[in-house]
Amino acid sequence: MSHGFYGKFLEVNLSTGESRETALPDEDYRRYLGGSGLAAKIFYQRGYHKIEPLAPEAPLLVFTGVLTGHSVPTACKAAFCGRSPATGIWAEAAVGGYWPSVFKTCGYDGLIITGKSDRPVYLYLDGSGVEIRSAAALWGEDTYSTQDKIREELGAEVYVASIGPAGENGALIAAIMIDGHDARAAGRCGLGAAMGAKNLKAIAVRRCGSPPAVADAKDLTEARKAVMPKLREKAKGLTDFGTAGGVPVVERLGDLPIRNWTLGSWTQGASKVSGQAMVEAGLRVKHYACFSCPIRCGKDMKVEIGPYRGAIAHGPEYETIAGFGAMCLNDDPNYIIAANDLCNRFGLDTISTSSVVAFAMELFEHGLISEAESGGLDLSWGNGEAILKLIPLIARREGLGAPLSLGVRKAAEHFAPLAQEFVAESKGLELAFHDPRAFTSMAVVYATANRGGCHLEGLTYFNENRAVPASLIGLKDDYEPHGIEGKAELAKKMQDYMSVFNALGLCKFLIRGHIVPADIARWFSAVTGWDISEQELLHAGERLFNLKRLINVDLGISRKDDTLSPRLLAHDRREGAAAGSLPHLGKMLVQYYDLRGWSAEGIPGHEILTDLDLDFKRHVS
Amino acid sequence: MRITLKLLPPYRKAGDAGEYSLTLPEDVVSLKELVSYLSREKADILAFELVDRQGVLTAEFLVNGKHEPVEHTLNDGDAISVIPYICGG
Ligand code: SF4
Repeated sequence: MSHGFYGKFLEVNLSTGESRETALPDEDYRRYLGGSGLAAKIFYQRGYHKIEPLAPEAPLLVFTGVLTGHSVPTACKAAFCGRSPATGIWAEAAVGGYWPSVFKTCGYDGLIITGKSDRPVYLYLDGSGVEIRSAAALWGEDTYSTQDKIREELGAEVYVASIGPAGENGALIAAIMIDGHDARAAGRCGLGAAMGAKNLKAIAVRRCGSPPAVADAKDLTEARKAVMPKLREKAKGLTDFGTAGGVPVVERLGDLPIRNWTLGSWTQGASKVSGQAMVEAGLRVKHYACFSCPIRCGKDMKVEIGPYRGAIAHGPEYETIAGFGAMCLNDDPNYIIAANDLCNRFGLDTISTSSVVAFAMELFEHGLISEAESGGLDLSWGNGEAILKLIPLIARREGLGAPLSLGVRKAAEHFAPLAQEFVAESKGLELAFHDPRAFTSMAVVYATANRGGCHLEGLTYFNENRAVPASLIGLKDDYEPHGIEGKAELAKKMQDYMSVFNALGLCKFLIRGHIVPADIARWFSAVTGWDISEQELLHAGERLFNLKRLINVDLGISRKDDTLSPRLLAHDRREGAAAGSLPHLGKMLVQYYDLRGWSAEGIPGHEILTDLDLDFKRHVS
Repeated sequence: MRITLKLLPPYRKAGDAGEYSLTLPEDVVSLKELVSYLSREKADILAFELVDRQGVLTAEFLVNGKHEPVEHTLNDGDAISVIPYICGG
């Protein structure tokens, strides 16, 4: 008998309206851990990657982790997966809040949606299967009112994952948003557009009791208690100020991208937009915690300007502050809060959206977008009003918003050839806002991340500045931020460790609380009743990273794609702590491939695939 | 009490090794008091403030290689590294 998970998922075909349950062996949960790991296994084995991302038959996979919904710190996540409409390669976007833990009570570990409805619909899971309901009255609504209206129909016990107008209109930077006004985002890779292409507005779930029973509740309670002191103490800054704390420090280290990655210093601005400054300005209303999270990094803020003035909105997180603040040279936190709220309502990823806004501002500066092309918008650096006006255009794909809604890589193709110089992306996904010229291991992380320019697949800037000692995963603690020694190994080991989190349903901020693989192995063992060592757990992480690489290799990815935009590899900055620093990506990649057991072209070798039990034959089932 | 202080970026000044051997006054017994002492008496060696204008500590501390809270009591011969507190995410 299995513990902690159901051993089955639900498949829904929106073209035919049919649904069916599919069982999975326990073995798969032990090897792939659930969440994005199990989703990747099914995706690859079924040959789903050969289907174009927005084709009707393309699948959208939503999987909870084995730990999701249990009494484990931060076990709040689900992963939305598929082939990215934005990049064309593997996509995964994890999200917390409450929806995933409620989903976990509905009788399934996951959901695979294929087909396309001929009219707007939403799915409703209430523990007795699935119902396809009309979303005619919801189409066009923002993500907050979508949950409000579904709750009017089905009751307040229902939680909603939905797209906003951006996903409906096919913006390739559209997010899937969770929990209405609480606004947690499965933001990256444009999976909101994948939902929109299916005429699928939302997935509503009702809490149906508890998740499947765990094997050893007593040990799980003890294991949880054991980590609480270090979690509370080490992650205190996250609790106090959220991810937005410490922006001035990040700026001083040269890690904050400024003016579309061109400047190295913005000291005054950084101090005005930090989490601390927002608290001082009285903008923070309250703290917010996802399901089962003792860290409580979420912050609710007052919206003081823009069309929703007077509202209380979630966030903004560090990435959003960096994006709509430093990247656009906007030092007014009120515009950042309002822009964040607009993105959440329209269902736009804030990293990609702020990247295209900063990109547009630079084009405007160089005369590559005229005021006529911008629809009369003055896109001068720092113009907060212009940011607020541009976001709805992107979501609706109107005017200048139409090319920008495709993300920076495709938008640059739309504008003059010179525009290619102003992008910062990897594999078509806009880089998150930690500068690889400040912490060079991040160059390897971004260049090799399976979903493109993703910081979360490695998070090694935390190790390089020693906020998270690398010795916790068996590496040395001292790194020269601008050098390359040890960086390839750091990137590889952290990627393997981080792969575990989205699979099990855990929040990666646990590492700020110095949670180590042994802690997670103990939780996993207590929930499932299996005797899992930290070595087995990390081996599973390595398996998942390589599995996603295999998917991408089948899609044509190789060494030629493991790179960053020239702006980050060839343009050093003149000021700040990382002035003159450029990451030597080529050298680090050679070491990295070697450590991974990949060929010089970046293809996983037979030996490593055998070691990871990934030499299985694919079949379509 | 004598300690070794190692300042990491951004606290270390450009071109400075950032390592100091310091004799602390008797009233400096914890990391918290060390922060006040450094901010007050040794500001010239700091390239970035340990406490920001909102009164929030910007740093974390390693004592003999181990992360310790600001309440931690210092001992003679301790090696203390000052590292930046970073949230991000
Ligand atoms: S640390 Fe923050 S994002 Fe992570 S689970 Fe807790 S509240 Fe959610």
